[in-house]
Amino acid sequence: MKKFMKWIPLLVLLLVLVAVTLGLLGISPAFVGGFGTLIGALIGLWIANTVTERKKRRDPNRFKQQEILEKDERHVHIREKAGNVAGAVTVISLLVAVIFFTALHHDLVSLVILIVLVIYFAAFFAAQAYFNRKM
Amino acid sequence: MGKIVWNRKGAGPMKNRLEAIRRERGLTQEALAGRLEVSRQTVGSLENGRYNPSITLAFKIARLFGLRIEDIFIDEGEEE
Repeated sequence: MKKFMKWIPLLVLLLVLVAVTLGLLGISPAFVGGFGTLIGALIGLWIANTVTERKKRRDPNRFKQQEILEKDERHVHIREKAGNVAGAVTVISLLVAVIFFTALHHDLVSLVILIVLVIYFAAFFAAQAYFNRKM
Repeated sequence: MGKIVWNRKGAGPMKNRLEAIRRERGLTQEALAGRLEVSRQTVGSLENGRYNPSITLAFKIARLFGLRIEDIFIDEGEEE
């Protein structure tokens, strides 16, 4: 991650150049806007990492305590369980939304939600197969 | 040899003598948490039997006290 962080400013510069070139070539503004979002996300990541590194240098003991809390196995377990519950609630909500939008004849919206659900389940089974092999 | 706590939730019922051993060694929950590099809440949950530790943490606890895992954590099946 640290190595990646070093390259972020260069990557941002490269993306800006690509976005400007695409803009000059008259490529779809939405596509160029997508680049803008990616650039923003990378800058955000870089700032967050820089702030964390600075905190680490300023108060190593406090940082160590925070790191222990973050990596604490019970906390990790709780986060995983909370994630599972949130995932289940999300899927149920999306299914309800599909029924709701289908009833209102908003077929396109229903289709988009169904595609999201298919991606969710595909990712779930792919991850399950991966961890089955790995663990 | 001290109070034995039953695990109420988790993969299975497990008793442990962590609190008794910690007190015997004169350690506070905070101090034990610091030595184990876990949060104080984790130590509290372990002692109350609300949380079963991972095998890594169980070994760490056992090593810290110079005991075997089964001297601290007692499986219900093993008892029978």
